[in-house]
Amino acid sequence: MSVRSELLKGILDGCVLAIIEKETVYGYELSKKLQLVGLHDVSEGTIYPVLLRLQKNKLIEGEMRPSESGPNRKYYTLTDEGKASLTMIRKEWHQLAVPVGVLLVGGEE
Amino acid sequence: MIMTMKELRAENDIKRELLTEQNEAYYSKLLVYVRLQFFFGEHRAEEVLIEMLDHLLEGQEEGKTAAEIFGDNPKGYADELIGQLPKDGKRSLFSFCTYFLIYPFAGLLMIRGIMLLIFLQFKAIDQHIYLYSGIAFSVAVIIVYNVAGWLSSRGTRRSIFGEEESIRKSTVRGGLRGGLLIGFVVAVMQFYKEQGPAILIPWYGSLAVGFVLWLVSRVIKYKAVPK
Repeated sequence: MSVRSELLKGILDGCVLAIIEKETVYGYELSKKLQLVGLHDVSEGTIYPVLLRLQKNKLIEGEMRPSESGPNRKYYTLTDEGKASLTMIRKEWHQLAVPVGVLLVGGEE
Repeated sequence: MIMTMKELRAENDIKRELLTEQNEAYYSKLLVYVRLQFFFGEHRAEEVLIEMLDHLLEGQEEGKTAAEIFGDNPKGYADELIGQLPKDGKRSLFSFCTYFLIYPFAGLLMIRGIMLLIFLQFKAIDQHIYLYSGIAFSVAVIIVYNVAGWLSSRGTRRSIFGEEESIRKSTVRGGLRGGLLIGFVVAVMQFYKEQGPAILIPWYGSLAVGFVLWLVSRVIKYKAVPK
């Protein structure tokens, strides 16, 4: 596994929560959106264990309902716990991103 | 809208028909493997299975294969999914255990009733049961039923992702295990021969009680499965 996908694994839950926060999505849409922002390393199937884990931890909820194109899809929304968790992940990410950026990017110069 | 297990499974059966042969083979292995795990949320499992199927169908339209979407290691992927399924609540685990006690016992009583009914047509048979012998025999049958069921489901799970061994080897092992299990029941019968007070349980009594217990086991099974 590449360094990039190892790094991504740790933060993927946060990315998924952030997408679901913006709008309710179903699995296929979610994987498309991850690809669209440029996270091509996330193989499409990876999201299903993530979605199961987030549901188990009560951070998101799923509901089966008809999609725009007709057939039933399971749509996900954030729970209150999910919102709190996303806020915390964002805070932690900022605390990491700045010093890591200083070290790694600064080291290139 | 909450779909029941039955609806989810029916929808899955229909949609699976739309897969290409190659994708169907990949997906069906995942499906069987995930369904053969017992102690975790069955409903959640059926939901994620259908989500993955929908995803695969959409991917198929774009010319993707199941291996491209779910990876080259289907067993590892399935284990990852199972690891994230919720454990069913205690109540459901309790119901689950009760079911596996009652169901084989009900079967035993009904088979006894039917066998007696058939043989009584030809000759008179003593319809008494020695209480302790009867209990020991029933316990042995319940144990054997569950061990055999567990062994066979484990065997199926192992064989799904190509860990199959030669037919000869598995037949020999299956035969040995079968012999051991039957031997266990026979040994218990010998050890607890004609012990305890004799009680008359006529064929129709066996059949009726067995039938009622079978109904009870159906209700328990139905209740144990979240809808």
